[in-house]
Order: sequence, then C-alpha cells, then structure tokens
Amino acid sequence: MNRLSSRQRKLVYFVAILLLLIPIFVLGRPASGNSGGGVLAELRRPQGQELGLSEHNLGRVDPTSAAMNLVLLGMRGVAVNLLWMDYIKQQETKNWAQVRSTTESITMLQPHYLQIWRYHGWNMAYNVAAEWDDVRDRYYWIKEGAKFISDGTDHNRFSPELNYEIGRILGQKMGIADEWRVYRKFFNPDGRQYEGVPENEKGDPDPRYRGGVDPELNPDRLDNYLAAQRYYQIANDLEGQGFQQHLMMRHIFRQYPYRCRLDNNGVLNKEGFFGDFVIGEWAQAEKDWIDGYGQERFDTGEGFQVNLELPSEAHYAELARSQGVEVGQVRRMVRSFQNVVNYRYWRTRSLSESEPTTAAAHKLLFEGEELFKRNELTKARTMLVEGLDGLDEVLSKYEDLITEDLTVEEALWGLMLIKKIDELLEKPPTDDLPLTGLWNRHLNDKVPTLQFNFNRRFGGL
Amino acid sequence: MSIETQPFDFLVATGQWAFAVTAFLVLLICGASGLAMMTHGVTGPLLVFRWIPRFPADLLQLSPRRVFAIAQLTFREAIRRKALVVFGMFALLFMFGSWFLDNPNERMELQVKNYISFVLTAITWLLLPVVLLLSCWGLPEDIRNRSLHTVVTKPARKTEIVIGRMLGFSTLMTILVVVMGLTGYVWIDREVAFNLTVYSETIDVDGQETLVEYVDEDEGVTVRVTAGDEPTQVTAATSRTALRQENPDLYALTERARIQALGRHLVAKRPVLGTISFKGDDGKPTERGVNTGDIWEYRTYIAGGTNWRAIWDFENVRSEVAADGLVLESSFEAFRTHKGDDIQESLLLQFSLVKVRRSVFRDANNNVVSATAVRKSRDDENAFEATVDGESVAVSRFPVAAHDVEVRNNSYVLIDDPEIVVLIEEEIRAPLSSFNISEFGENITVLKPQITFYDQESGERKQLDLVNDLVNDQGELRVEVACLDSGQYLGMAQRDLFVRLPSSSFAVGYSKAICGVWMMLGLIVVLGVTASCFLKGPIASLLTFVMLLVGQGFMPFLEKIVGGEVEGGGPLESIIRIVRQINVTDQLPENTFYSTIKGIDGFLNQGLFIVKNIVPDFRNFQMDTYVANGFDVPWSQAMAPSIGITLAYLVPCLVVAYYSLSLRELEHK
Amino acid sequence: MDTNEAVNNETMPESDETPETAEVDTPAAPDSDEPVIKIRNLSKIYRDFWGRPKVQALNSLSLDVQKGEVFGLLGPNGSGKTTTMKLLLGLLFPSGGDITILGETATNVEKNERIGYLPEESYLYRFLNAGETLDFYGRLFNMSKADRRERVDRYIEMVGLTHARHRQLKEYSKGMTRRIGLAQALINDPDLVLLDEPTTGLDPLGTRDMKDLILKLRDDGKTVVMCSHLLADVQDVCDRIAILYEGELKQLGRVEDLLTEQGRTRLMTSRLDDAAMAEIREVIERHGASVETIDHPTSTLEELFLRTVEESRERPGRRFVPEDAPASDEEPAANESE
Repeated sequence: MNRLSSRQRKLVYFVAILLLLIPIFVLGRPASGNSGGGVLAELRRPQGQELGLSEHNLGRVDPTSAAMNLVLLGMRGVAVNLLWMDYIKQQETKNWAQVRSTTESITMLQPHYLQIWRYHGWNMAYNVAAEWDDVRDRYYWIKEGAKFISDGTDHNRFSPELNYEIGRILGQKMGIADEWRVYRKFFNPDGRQYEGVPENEKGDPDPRYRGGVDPELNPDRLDNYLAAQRYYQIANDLEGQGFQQHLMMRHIFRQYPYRCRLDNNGVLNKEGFFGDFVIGEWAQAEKDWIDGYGQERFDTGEGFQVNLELPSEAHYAELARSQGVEVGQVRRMVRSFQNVVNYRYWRTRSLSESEPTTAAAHKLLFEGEELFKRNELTKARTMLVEGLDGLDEVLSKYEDLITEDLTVEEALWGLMLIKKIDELLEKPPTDDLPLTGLWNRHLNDKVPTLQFNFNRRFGGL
Repeated sequence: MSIETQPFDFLVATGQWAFAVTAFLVLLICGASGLAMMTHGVTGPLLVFRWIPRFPADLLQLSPRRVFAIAQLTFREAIRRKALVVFGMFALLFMFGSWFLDNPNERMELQVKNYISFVLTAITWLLLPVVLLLSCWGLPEDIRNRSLHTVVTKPARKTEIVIGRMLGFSTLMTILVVVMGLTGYVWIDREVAFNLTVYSETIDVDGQETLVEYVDEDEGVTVRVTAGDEPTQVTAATSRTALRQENPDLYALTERARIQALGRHLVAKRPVLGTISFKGDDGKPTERGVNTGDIWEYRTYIAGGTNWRAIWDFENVRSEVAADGLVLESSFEAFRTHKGDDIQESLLLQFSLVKVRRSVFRDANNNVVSATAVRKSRDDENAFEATVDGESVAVSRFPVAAHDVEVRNNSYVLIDDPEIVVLIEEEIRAPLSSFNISEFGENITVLKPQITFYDQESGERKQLDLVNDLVNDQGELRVEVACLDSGQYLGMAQRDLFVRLPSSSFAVGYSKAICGVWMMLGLIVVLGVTASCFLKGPIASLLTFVMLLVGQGFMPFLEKIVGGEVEGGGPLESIIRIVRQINVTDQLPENTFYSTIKGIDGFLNQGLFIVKNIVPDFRNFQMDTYVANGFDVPWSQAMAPSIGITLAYLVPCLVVAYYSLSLRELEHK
Repeated sequence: MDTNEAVNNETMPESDETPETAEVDTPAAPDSDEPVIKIRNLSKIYRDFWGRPKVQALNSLSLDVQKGEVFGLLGPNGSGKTTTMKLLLGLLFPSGGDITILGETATNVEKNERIGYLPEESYLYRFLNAGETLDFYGRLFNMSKADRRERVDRYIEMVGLTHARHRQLKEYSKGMTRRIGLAQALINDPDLVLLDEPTTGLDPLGTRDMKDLILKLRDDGKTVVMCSHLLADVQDVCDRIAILYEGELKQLGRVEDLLTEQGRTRLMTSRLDDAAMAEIREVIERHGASVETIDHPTSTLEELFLRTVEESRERPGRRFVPEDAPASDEEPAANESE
C-alpha cells in the first residue's frame, strides 16, 4: 500500500466501495412499478406473498415515529427507559396530562411493542380511571384506555391480543365494574332498556358527543358487550388466520365473542329489562354458543382434537373414531375443556332463559324487589313468592342450574326479601316457602355471605 | 395540580449567602497564602495580601466603553459561530411539535398543560447547550488562537474582559430567549385556539346570562344558545365560515364565548395561600391528616363523617376582600374506601368560615407564659392568672399571627418557642352549604360580602358580614373543610385551597416563566465564563454541565445524602455494600476497617455538603409548573429566589474569574 | 477554588508596584535618562503540569532599551526573543528577575495605554473587517467615537488597506494581515512599539514600507523594540541589537560597533588585477600584518550572527552581561565583543 500514491489509494478505496455497493443494490433495491425490486424487497412483500417483513406490513407507519427512531440512532431503548421512568414518577404524582403524553411518546418510539400498548391501555382503564372520583371522569379514562389500544391496533394490524384487550375493556371493565349501570347508560343511550330514562341521564357525558355515543368506540350504537363482541371477533378472526395470541389457552380465548351475547343478556335482565326481545336474544345466544363455539375444534395437546358440543354418546363415539382415539379419552378432555369455560352452564342457562317461564320468574323477582324498595310489602311478597315458584319450576326442568351460583343466589335473595318482609309485617316465619330445600342446602356456605350483603343494603334482619 | 415549594426568605438567604461567600473568600486567601508561602517563602502571603485590593480597584476603574466593546465582539463572535442555527432547530420542533402533542381525544385542560410545558422545556433545553458551549469556549478559544493577546496588551482590564464576555453572551441569549418566547407564546395561543372546538360558556348578553354551547366537528358546527329560562335554541351550519356568513349575530356571540373559553384555559391565577393544619377525630390539632397509603405524600387525608377537619388560616384578608367578597378555589383528591350507593355522585364536602382568636400570655415582666398554665377568671374576661413554678402570676394576653403558629404534639405552639402553647378560641362559625367536589379540577366557592348560613344550634338562618364578623382583629380568616361522606377520605395539601385574586393574563405568567428560563441561562453564562477563565473549553463545559446536572437533577438526592436520610451509608460504605452484597438494613461488622470507612465517609459527606452548597439549585428556575397549571408565578416563592440566585453567583464568580485571569499566563501551551 | 490556586502556582508575578505608584497620567519624562525598558536578571522557566522545569527559555537576561532608539532582538528560533517580548507585555510571568517598562511593572494594565504591540502572527479577530478591528481596539483605549473614526481612517490609509476596508480579516492575505496588525498596534499613538517579527510574510516592497515606517517611528521620537530572525531588516533599521541564543544574551551593542572589528582592517576596492594584489599583499606584510582572506563583501551581520551562534555551540554557558548590570550569582560572564 505504501508504494501507492495518495491518489491511487483513493482510487482503490473508491473501487472497493463500488464493489461493495453492488450486492447492497442487488439485495436492497426497492420494489417499484413493474419491477419486483431487490431480493430483500421480494422478501418484504405484503403478507401472504412472501415473508411480510417490511414495517408497514405490521400496520400504519408514522413518519414522526420513523423520524424519531432515525434521530435517536438506535438509542431508542435508552430513550424509552428514561421516558418510562418519567411516566412512573408522573403517575405517582398524579400528573395525568403528562402521563398521557409520555405514553404517547413511548409508543411513538416503539410502536410495534405490543406489551406497551396492552400495559398502558390497561393502566388507563383500570388504574388511572380508579383515581378519579367523578364517575364521568372514570368513564373518560376507561374509554381512553380502549382508544389507546385501538391506536395500537392501527400500528399492529395483525395482533389478536390488542383486539382482545379492547374487547375486555369495553366488555368486562364497563360491564362488571361497580359503576356498570352508569357506564352502560353512558356507552349506549340508544339501548331499548333505557327508553324511559331521561335524556340527560344517559349518553356520553363528554360535551363533544352531546349525550350520544363516542363514535370512535361505538359507531354502531351497540351495548357495551356487543361492541366488545366486535373486537373479540376481530381477535378470533386474526387468530384463525394464524396470528398467534399468547394470552391463554385457545379454547378459552375463542369463547369471548360468544360469551358477550350471553353476558349482555344477563345484564339486560339485571337492568330489569325482560320480555320477548330478551327472550329472543337468549335464543340467539344459545344458538351461537352451541352452533358456533360448540363446534370449534381445539387441540387437546394429546394428539387429537375435540369440540365442546357433543349432545349424545353417539357424538362422542363418532369423534373418537374420527380422531382414532378411545371414547374415554375424548370424554375426559371434553369434560375438562367444558369445565374450564363453564360450557354446560351457559348452554343450560341460555336454554332456560329463552323460555318464557324463566323470563317471567326473573321479572317477578325483579319487580318484587322494586316494590319492596317502594315499601309496598304485601304486593311485593306475593310477586316474590310467585317468582320463586317460577324459578322452582325452571330448576326442576334444568337440573344443571341448581349448582350454578347466579341462579342460586337469585333464589336465595328472593327468599331473604320474603323473610325481611315477613319480619317487617311482623308475621311469624313460615316454612312453606318455595325452594326452602335450596336454602337449607346452602345454609352454611352461600347464605351467610349473601345475608351480610343483604343486611348492608337493607338493614339487619 | 401539585407544586411543591420551599419557603424562601430573602433576608435569611442573603445572610447565608454572605456567610458562604465570606467563608469561601477566607478559604481562598488562606489557600493562596499557603501556596505562595511554599513557592515564594515568607514574602508569599504578603504578596497575596497585596493582590487583594486589586480586584475592587479594577472593578472601580471599569470603563463601560471597553466592556461594551468586548460584549459586542463576543456577540459578533457567537453569531459567526452559527449560534443562530438554534432558531432552525426551534422552528423544526414547533413545526412538528403538534404531531406529538395534539390528541383530539384529550381534554382541553390537559392539552393546554402539555403545550405550555412543551414550549418552556423546548426553549430551555434548546438554548442550554448553545449557551453553555458558547460561554465555555469563548475565552479558551481566544487564548488558544492568541487573539486575547491583542486585547490584554491594550488597557483592557481583566474584569472588563470577564464582564464584557458575560454581557455579550447574555445579550445573545436574551435575544434568543425573547424571540423563542414570543414564538412559543403565539404557538400556544394558536394551538389552544385551534383545538378549542367544543366549549360552553355563560356570557352576558344585554344584562342577561346566556349559555352558549358550541361544538365544531367534521360534520359541521352546532350552536345552542340558552338565554335565561328560555328554551334552548339550536343552530347548525356546515362550518364555522358558513356560520359566519349565514348568521353573523350568532357568530359574534360564539366568538365572545370562545374568547372567554380561551381565557379560562390560558390564565394566570393569583392565589393567596394560607397555612394548613388539621384537626383529628378527637378535636385536637395535628400536623398531618390520615395516611391512606398513597406513595405520594403530597396530600394527607381527612376522614369523612367524622370530626376530622382540614384548617386553612388566611392572613391579610381584610385588605384583599374590599367590598366584593372572596373567591375560594379548591381542588381536593378523593379516596374512597367503598363506592357507596350514590356511585354517580362525587364526594360531598363542606366549608365553614371561622373567626378565631389566637393568643398567648405574658406576665408583668413581658415574659411569655405557657397558655396551658392560664386559669381564666370567671368575672373578668380579660383577667388571667398563671402558675409558674408553683407561684401564681398575673398575666395578660396578646394576639399572635397565624404564620407564627404551628402544630406540634397535638397542640398549637409558637414557632419560635415550641414550649409556648397558643390558645385558640373559636368565636364565630359559619358553615357554608355543602357541595360535590370536582376532582383535579377547580371548585370555585364565592363568598359574598354578606354570608347567609343555617345555624344548627338555633335552627335559624343567620347572616353575617364577612369582613366585620368573620375576619378577626388581625385580618385573619379561618376556613375549615369537612368531608361529609362517612367512610370516605378527602386528601389535601397546602396549595389545594386558596383565595383567588383576579387573575393576571396568561401572558404575564408566561413571561415570568420565560424570565425564569432567561435567568437560568444567565447563570449558566456566568458559570461558564468563570469556568473558562481557568479551564480549557472542554473541561469548562464539562464542569458547567455537571453543575447544571447536579443542581437540576441530583439536588433532592444530594439533600437526602447530606441530611443523612439515605440508607446504606456514605459513598464508600455503599460501594462496599454493593460489591459485597450486604443489604442496606444489615448491620456492618464492627471492626477497625469499617469504622475507618465510616470515618472517611463522614469526611466525604462533608465534601458533598460543600458541593450541595456551592452548586446552584437550578430547580428554582423551573416555573413552568406554575404556568402550565394556570397559575401566575409568585414573586416571593419563585421570581425572587431565582433573581437572588443569579445575582448571588455573579459576585463570587467575578472574583474567581478576575484572579484566575490575572494570575495565569495567557499563553496557550 | 482549587483550580484557581493551581493557576496561581509558581507563576504569581512578583510585583512591588502598588497601584498608587502606577499613575496613568504621569508621562515618562522624555528627556530623563531612565531607560524605557529595564530588564534585570530576567529568567523564565517553562514548567510542565506537575511543576517540573521543562525548558529554560530565558536565563538571567539583563538589558536596557533607551528612549528613542530602535532596538533589535536577534536569535534563532527558540532563543527566547518572543518570550522576552511576552514577559515585557505581562503575557508571561517571569520566574526570576525584574522588568520595568515605561517605569512600571510588566503586569500593570495602565502601561498598555502607551504601548503598541504587533504580535508574531495575525492573532486578530478574523470575523471582523479592518474598520471594525481598528474601531474595536480604539474602544479598548477608551477613545471617543469621533476620535476613533478619525484614527481608523488615518491608520487604514497609512497601511494602505483603504480598498479592503470592508472585507473580513479571514479573507486577507498574509501581508494585509500584517499591515492591519501594525495599524492596530499604532492606533493609540504609542510611545513604545513592540514588533514581533514585523516583516515575516511581507513581500520586498512591503518589507521596505515596514522598514520605512519603523524609521519614521524613530524619527517621531518613539521607542521601537523588534525581534526578528531576518538579519537584513535588523541591520537596516536597528540602532542597537541583542543576540540571544538558547535563552542567553550573547551579543549586545550598537550595530556599527558590533560589526566593526577593531583588530582587523578590511579594504574594499574596485576590481584589481593579480599584480596589484601581490603588490598590496607585499605592502601589508611589510607592515607586519598578514592577509587572511581576500573575497567579495558579504552581509556582515549574517556573518556575525552565524559566528555568534557557532561559538555558543562550541563554548556553551558564556553570556554577555552589560557593564552596569549587577553580576548574577552564576558563573562569571564573558564579554564576547571586547
């Protein structure tokens, strides 16, 4: 090298650079128009054609985010760490404005890191929301959590997990929280069950939506569980396309869209909404549960697959034969899968609920309690007894239900109301009430807890 | 909203400063004498003392013309060094800043906070490196390329060079700050105006209160106007421009409401803060309320439905009340132990206005006597008797101000003598009507000059005059807060309740915060130029940067170390603990090695104490929290300390810079 | 704080001048016998970071510069010329010995009012133009605006830079920078002008101008101290010279005196033929002298300079001490020119 002059040396470098550039060009040439582009571009082709490696296959690519990452020169991990430390401090000091913008910055830097979307969406909906006292504020932050993850799905189109999380916030968070009655009214003011509710008590409290719905989360004006169902369904579809979820076992994961309708019907009843519409809904839910979820095939991990809806022995035998395993093995696995998701309960429940008798019993019990609250005791008692009779009838028809908490608790609650009324009317305790056998069976487990709750609400017996 | 401030007493601070500077100078002289003794023998110290009067002499002969010549040169030099490129960066940030910050979902008040913090942080952190590097490299570069030779061989004094440099950099920095500050202001204003698409304001139309609700969406603009009790009038248009053309009167109305809404979002509130104390369930005063387990110990809580009370004492109320009454603003935090049946309602709380008499007693010799010893005479309300050392003495009482009193051991005591118990007598109490809190938001309670309230004892409605009946002789008013929901807790900190004076405009608060940034950068210039007088460019930059880092970020930690609050011992001990994996709670074995280590640590901690007291506390310059939260920047707590700190460093820095420049050979080696 | 003392380390100038005695307005009596510069036993040792001596740049130098003379400091590179100059200006602090310049100590700022200094290279601010440069230095002398305007014009014209007045100094050629440097040094109409290598980088014409200017300064009654290694320049303009070698004074005296060798006689004639030469040689030998060389005249200062340097190499440690200077505590001095 020493013998080369400076100019010669530069020439050599130049040639070497050119030589090195050739493979880069061959490999990296971007696809354009009718030319297929370089080897890497081929590999990066959109999903389904090749490996789908390019970033925009994952979802929307933000120019800002890309620019930020470029500027940070690979230091984004460090930057995110620092931001995360800021975020912890901000959350501790309840600096919500900055919590929101810090999380925004974090996802800006790592838009394809699913855990971040999941964690912060959950954090907003469950933790930040809980810090606020006004129910409207809490509702706002629950929505923020859902919207945040929804943002994440824009960047990660193929994530069943993120869609599942949105479903969870809209469904479980809004439907099971202590404030569920309020949240549901906020979420869908158009629900049939709210027809008599004054305008100013329902609908989104945000002035932007003027008592309507939040178009971003609920454009189709559905009840919270049914809106959640949409997201669960997307999650299932993606999962079905082969995008894996790593949250739970498959048969648990896939039940959620079907469960939503069941849950929604249950809540409609709790809201005191009965009648043909709900009965029809239950029937539809039952159909979905049996024909949809019940027919899905799941891997048992023991070399064969099962589905959960097997109405007769013949079905078991048929399944065992087609999978080439023994019937006993199939039965054991199906049983265990069914237990995990409470399959049989939901089947029976939806079946029973779609009968007018059940609906009538629920309605009587609900209205009896309402009358009790209005201090129309004699009338209430009659209704409650009638309701319990109806329930007794249902239980004797669907024996499975007798082991299920919800039904049992409903019955016990009704009995407690009757006892309370008797006490208030200064009647002697009677033994001829319906379902006394149920009461006695649960005298030592369910009755004391329930009684405690009852007393807290209505005063001691 | 949370601002944690330390009280700042200018007089005390000045005293401390004078002490520190004197100590510093004495140390400097001693050190220099010692060194001179080593190099020059016995005449060394004499030489040092001959040098002492030179600095004041130099300072007295300062020529403004020379200072300005050097300042101008510095300014030009900085411009030629492309200092103004920072404007480009700034413009870029602001062009794209809204990409990061705009979130159509987010609530306006949260958005506004982000905008303001963003602008102030951006200005600070864009200018800091520029100013720091310029001021640290200016002189060393001059020495390196020997341009300084042509200056010091002219009759330019060393102080003139230093001051000129500082002035030059400060001028440049001032221009940068002013331009950026103005741009930032316009940007905030426009962003907020742009994002303000939904508002509902009550405005006054021809003497009638009119509610204007305005919603601007993609689909179009909807305006509802509700005047008085009249039914709502709804108007829709495809866009704002369309509304303007179709219905100019209504448009004018919405614009008025819009400006009012803007003013609500961009505001600089001026609070009058009181002192806070608590009263426990047993009715005894306590320093803090209940701890609900919040990690953040900013607020303490009072239990609802009990005798727990939070008490604010406001001073100088009389002068501020005038005839128009008072506006109380509060923002408390709720902590629920159960959600309760009325889940839709936020917690209920109640204010009571209380007139109190705060007094201590003294005997005939003017000695203060503990109030607990006082026995009230039955006949005369003003005759008291106390027993001191078993002997009874006649005493009289005199009033004390609220700020002299604090709570210790469940009683009110004098701050300057905690042995003296202050007697607080409640004279009149006016409970106000209860209200639901709006958390993290503002709750406004307007106190009219005439307070009407329901008196539970007599069961009648009563009316009292706020100034004459409820404010005591010393111009103090006590506000007691109770939470009415039993089982729930209400959290409060001192700043959570205040008397709100008419607000300043946002521009005032904002410019004060910009002024804070300006003073901080000024201090950086002073420190940087001083460091560059005895260090080369890179080292001077490093030194200044470390000072900034320590003064900005590590100050709380340093305070903890110096205060002995950090677990795990001093620097050496903690290193040993880390390396040997000894838990902080474990006792170290007692042997000579560890006692030596602890001894050295004690010495090192002394060093840290010095560092803590030498490094300026840059936290004082951060005023963005005030402005971002819609407050004016208070003089006494924020402006005064920051001005004070900048000035305080100027003097010793000049001394150091002068002697460094005079006693070093200005020759690049 | 400590860093400050570190700077203070060893280099603290010893000054017995208090500010009171250093009165600005006391003009040095022009006719007094007091020399403009008085250097006694001046030494300078450069030290490294740890304070260990690295280079002895100047060793016990003593000399005087009288008012109104042009004094030249000669020496090869690294001989201590520039160090002496910087010690005179207070840019460096002496390790030993005293300097009195215009009756004051070197570190006194007030003396600068009457001094003009042209540094070795162009150390001016490169982003200023000629006008701005002179205006800046004028302001350092606390001149009024009108005064400055007048002087700036005058000196720019004097150094012939009127055409380039508005160009930044970084665009200047070396010669132009020297000129503006000179203008800068003279802006205050100084009594004492210190010129460090005034003619380096100048073309012959520029060199000529510079020499004329120096002579003009002398005619105006100013004292000029210049250092140079360009012997021709020194020979042409200096009244007295000092030759330094490795920090020691080797020669000091009037230029004519130094170049006149009392022990020898040199004839200079028009060209002679061999016969005439032989005849002359004979006459000389008859008078008991001998002809050593017969050659063509050379630049004699160069000869002196080279001889001095060579002798110093052969016999190190000998240095020149002026008669009135107090004897240093080191080895006895040898007076080379005697």
